[in-house]
Amino acid sequence: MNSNPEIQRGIRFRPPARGFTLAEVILSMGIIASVSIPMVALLALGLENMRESKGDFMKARIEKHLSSMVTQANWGETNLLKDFDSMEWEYDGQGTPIEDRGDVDPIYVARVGIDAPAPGAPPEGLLMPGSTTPSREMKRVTITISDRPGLENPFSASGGLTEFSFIATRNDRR
Amino acid sequence: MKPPFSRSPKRIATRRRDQGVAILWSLGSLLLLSVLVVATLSISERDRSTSRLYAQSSETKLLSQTAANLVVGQIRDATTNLGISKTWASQPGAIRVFTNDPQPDSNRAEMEAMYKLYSDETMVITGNAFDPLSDVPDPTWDDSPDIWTDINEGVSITDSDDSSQQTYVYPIANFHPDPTREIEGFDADRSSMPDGARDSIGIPMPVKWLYLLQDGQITAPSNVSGSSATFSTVVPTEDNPIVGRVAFWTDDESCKININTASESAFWDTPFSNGNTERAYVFKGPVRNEFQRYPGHPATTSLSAVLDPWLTIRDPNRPQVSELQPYWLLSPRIADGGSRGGTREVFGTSPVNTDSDRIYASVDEFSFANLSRSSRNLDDINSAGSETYFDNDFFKIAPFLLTAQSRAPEVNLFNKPRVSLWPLQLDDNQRNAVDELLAFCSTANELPYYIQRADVWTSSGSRGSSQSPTQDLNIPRNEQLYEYIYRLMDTDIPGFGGNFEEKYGDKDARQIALQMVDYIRSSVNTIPFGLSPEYRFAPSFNSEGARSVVPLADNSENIRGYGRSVTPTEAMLVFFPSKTDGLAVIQGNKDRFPRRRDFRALATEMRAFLLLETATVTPGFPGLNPHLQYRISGLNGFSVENRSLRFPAEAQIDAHSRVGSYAGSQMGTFVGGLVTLRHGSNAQFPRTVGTLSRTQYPFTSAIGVDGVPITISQDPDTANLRFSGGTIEIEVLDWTGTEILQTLTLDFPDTSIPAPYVQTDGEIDETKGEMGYNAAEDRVYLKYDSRELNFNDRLAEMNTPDNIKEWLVRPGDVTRSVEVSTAGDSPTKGDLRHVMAQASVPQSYFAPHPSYEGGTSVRFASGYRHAAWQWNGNLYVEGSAPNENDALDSGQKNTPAGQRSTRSLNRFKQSTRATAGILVPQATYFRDSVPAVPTADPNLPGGVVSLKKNGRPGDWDTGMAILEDGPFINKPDETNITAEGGRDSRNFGVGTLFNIQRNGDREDNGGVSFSPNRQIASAIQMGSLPSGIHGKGGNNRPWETLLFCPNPPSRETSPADTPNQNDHFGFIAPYDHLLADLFWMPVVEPYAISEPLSTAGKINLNHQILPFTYLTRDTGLRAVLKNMRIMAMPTDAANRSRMDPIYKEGSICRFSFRYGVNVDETLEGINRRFEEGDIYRSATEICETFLVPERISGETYYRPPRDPNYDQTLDWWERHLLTGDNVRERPYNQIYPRLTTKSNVYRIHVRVESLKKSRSSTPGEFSHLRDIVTGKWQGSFLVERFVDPNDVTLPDFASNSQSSFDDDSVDDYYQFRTLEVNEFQP
Repeated sequence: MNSNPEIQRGIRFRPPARGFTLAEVILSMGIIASVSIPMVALLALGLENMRESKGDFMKARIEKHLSSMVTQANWGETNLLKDFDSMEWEYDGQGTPIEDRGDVDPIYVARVGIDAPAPGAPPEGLLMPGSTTPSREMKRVTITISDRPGLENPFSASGGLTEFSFIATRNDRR
Repeated sequence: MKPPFSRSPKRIATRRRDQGVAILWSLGSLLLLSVLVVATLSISERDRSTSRLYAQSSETKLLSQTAANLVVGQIRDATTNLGISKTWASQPGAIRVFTNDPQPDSNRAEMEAMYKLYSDETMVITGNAFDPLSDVPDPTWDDSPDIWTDINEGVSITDSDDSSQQTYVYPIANFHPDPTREIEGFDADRSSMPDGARDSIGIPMPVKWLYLLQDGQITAPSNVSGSSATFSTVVPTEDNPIVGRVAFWTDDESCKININTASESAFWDTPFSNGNTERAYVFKGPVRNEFQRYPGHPATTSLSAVLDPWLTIRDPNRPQVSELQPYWLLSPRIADGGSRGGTREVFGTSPVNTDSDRIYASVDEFSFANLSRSSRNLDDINSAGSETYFDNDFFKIAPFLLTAQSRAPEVNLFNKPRVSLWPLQLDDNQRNAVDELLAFCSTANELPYYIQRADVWTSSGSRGSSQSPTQDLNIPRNEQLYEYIYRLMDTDIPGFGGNFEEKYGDKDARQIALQMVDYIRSSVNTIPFGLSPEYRFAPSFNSEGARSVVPLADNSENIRGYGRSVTPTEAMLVFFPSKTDGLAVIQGNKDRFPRRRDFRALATEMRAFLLLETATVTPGFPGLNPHLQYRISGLNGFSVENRSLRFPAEAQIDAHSRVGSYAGSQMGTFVGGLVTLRHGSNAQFPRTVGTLSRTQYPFTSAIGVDGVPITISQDPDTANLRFSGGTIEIEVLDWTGTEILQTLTLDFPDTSIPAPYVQTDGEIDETKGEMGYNAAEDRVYLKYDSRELNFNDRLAEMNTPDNIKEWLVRPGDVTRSVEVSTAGDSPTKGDLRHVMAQASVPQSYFAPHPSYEGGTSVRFASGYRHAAWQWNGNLYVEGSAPNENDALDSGQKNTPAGQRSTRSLNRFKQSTRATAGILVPQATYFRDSVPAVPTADPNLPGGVVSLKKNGRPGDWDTGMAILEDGPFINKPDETNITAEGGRDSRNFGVGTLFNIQRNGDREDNGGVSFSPNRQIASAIQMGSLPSGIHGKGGNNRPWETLLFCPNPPSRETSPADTPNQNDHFGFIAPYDHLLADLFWMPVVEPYAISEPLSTAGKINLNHQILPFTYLTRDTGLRAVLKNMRIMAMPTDAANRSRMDPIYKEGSICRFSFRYGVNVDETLEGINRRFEEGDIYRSATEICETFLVPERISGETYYRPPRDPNYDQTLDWWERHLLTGDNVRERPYNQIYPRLTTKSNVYRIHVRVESLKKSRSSTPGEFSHLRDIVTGKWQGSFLVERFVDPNDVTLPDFASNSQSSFDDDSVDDYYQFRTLEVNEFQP
């Protein structure tokens, strides 16, 4: 406790000082309102940036996870690469795949497409420039990541989508 | 101390002045809020920026992976799913796939497709046409950065030594800034090189961008120039925009020199003459672990091709040890020692102790290799005194020229495993550590692809499978591999078309397959030493059947190989006097006392015996002495003057001797007596097994029964005795006498012969009267040596080996032979290989000696040769070479029995005119070079037996060292260097090359020189195997062997043109050299350079760089060719009047027969293939390319012609006709195993950019001016294709099942792995 008797007195017994005038308050409120509202908006923007940054990180992480899985997939007799096609994965906020949903709500959901049909593209294999026959050994892979897993169709246009595409090739024996 | 929160009395007193404080509070709060917001914004922006960078980095990495995957996918598309009907070949920038459909007027098949390994708008070209110049970048490429990009664009950096200086660093390649440090073979044609280089050392390498769309499609710009990229086939849209672009170019690592396998040293080869160069190969030959001198070893590929500017070898033909040492220190597992690069004699030395340096992980590590790499003090070697050998600029150029990771597949053109050339025992306990490694390398999924041997020799009672014609072939896996080789020969060859079964016919195709299997089984690894367990496949040198291997026989096809054995080549009947009274034969005036040379006594009875001459087609080392049995039937019909000679109807002998009994000093100067062509005739006389005691020789007139009476009193030369012969059958049996190996039929025609007489030394028989004169008869009687009258007494003289020449056939005997025919229309024309390879040799293969029908005027009608030194090895025959030295200096004492003392001497007489045919029409053979061929048919012009059926020169071998030339199969050199003896014990006489230093007849008990990779390097070594033993339609082709070189003596077509079948049968498509593609020799020393189905360090023949054809990098090929030698014997080399001493003489020949390789001119020939728009499909095609010879400065050559250019090379060879087929092919045996046309390792240079389309720009275009490049990455991926040898799904590629054979190929079992990822960060 403070040992200064005057202060002790002041705290205990001094009546409150005169408040701010209405004009002061209004002016202050006005200033605060006129400045803080855009500030808060800016803050929201910053927060959104941070969220997006995190999203970028997480999506890149998810892309790495999925692309490495696809790249290393066995194309052999078990044809595991095919199994990836249209398969979906759910991830938590740290970009970690959710093995067992349990109580954890997914933050991201990702889908892999193998040789996704495109207008004019053959159904399977990659058509190299200048070639008329699709490659047996390469496939087009797309990874679509949505950060709105709660939507009925998170991979629709409104799903906050990020898309990656690359070419995978067979590394195992035929 | 002032308490906190205190309010001073003054401030209380003046609080009115606090009005407006609220505003201040508000402003303060706002300030705080602003700071907070700004901070938050700032942090979030930074986070955003970081995350964007991370995401972009992730995207560019994904893009770079995409670029690498595009290349891997291209490689996979090109190299898989080929089956056994297609093959592929790689080069920097592309892989081409070839069918087995032959092109018209070509020996090669059509190209099916070319897969580009660089980014281009046409990644796959189908069809046969490709113009390598079509993809050379547009000159204005630099103006179109959205279409082209320089994959080798230099990046400016500040010089570390001088900050004011800017230098460029290039991601792939650049030249050395110092012109004095130019690298051989690394250059650019600046006239056709596109602009865009940042400085004088830069090399623009523009390739096209490929654009990646959102959905993963790849599209290439449709325009070749312009400010933006436009697209036509796959067009980007707003919904499927461009997201990135990639550019790549792929280097073939096998075009670079492998720093883990290459080294530096001096050339070495088996000696084929007795010149100083050849003798140096004896005295200063490589010892064990001196890999840098092993023929065909990857360590003979010269690192100096790149490093010479830094580690200079002043005279590459004579490198000094101090110049070589830095190379040995840099090369892992290569060490100083032994011959020290051919500069030191090796007798008494030990194997080289290899260093324990680990292999390099990267070229950078090599570039930083410093003196501490070895414990040796190199201060005196590294004259620069720096910490490394190399300057900074070396670091920049090295990765384009050197590699640490090159590997080439060891599959044949059918994409199936090659068969190993190293035979191994079936029993694992009979394999040493190197054997095990060799076995590992040639095994896939536990299935061996090597020839196995059922058992080894351990004693006289346990001789192993080498003495059986079928035991080894009966091993099921050997049967399969034999059938496998045949089936491959019966299948159309990818890349070339046609097959060998069509070319040669079924019988000869099988014959060739069996010959090859038997060659592997019998010719190498017969006596390995120095590794535990030691074993001997062939019997020991001092045991019965020493070093012999019975030929392998396929009884179902009635064909056989050669083993290391002998075959009868002549049967000689010797009629000899068996009884005499000593009555002198007096010619001319009987009143005159007979001259000394007429000291002959009349025989009153005669008998006969039959001798077999046997020959081997595998002369060389180790010494050979087979143990066989011979059964002869049909002799009982022979008679003289209608009186039977009383030969047995059938008899059998057990013939053997021991090399050890007659080697070394007992043979004196007759070195090689038991290793030369003719099997020692003393070996055919039966012995008790394990001893030297002889048993009865049965092929004689009945012993103990009177001979044929001769009742002549006149000159025996004029007596006319009628001989009646007949057909005999000779069966060659194994040593147990139970298995028939070969049956030969010979016919002795009836003829007239003179009478035998008794040769005396002229001593008068005083018991017959004074001065031996019997007045009643008016004749003189002479004393005689009764040993001459008794066959067994003659035989007894053979216990002194040299006496065989003097006592087996005596001057008064009469001989009549039937020998291998040399007649122009005969099946053999004297080619003994054709006799050896027949299981049943018909009568037509033999003919009576040309003088057989000579009547009484011809006493000796035989060409019988004894296994001694060539020129005195003949027994008593007409026209034998005179030994002028003996005759002039020593009188009769040491005169060889084959010489007539009365002949007028002709110092330079062509000794073989009467005793043997000759091999080269224009050659004159002196006595030391008598070819190993039978007597020439008199109708052969010039006595030349070796002409092919079209009259052109045939294929024969040059004998090893001073062994004679003849029809051999190029036995691999198993000679060892003895650990015993030394300089003091050296005999500088004719034995030098063999018995002592080369220790041919003894075993390398110290393991000083034995090494598998020194014995055999490739199947080119099998190039002396005959290719026409049977012939299509029975029309066999003697003197024609497998063709593994472009310059057979029969070739008349210029090097500039395509040879035809008149030049050689081997030039009929498919060319013979493709047979060599079926085999390989794994390299397992100094470490496992080979792995199952691959070998490191091979150099790609296809060095042409696509699409940058203006850039040359043939440094790797130069490294292969740099230290090579070509051997060529001038046509006069056997002519003593021209060359004294001659090339095969015991005295040292002063001329060199070894030439260097003119690398520039040779590459000129190699590059012609690229100029045709084609590439090499098989490394064996090097055998179609002439190696252009050039004289080595400081060497003495015989009348050397001017060094030729490529097109003149054939003319040059016309002056060197005394060069055998094996010697012509020998350089290719050293070059081919170091070459490849397929690579397993590729470095993919990548440049990628992640892109973002601007909303305002057209979706179907991309322009860097309007659109955004969001990320970049540049670097390289090193990828390797490999097969897991333990993959349990690997099938048996040599399966007997036809469907499996047709379906299974290795290409589908390749996997890929990334060895390195390097980001370019200068």
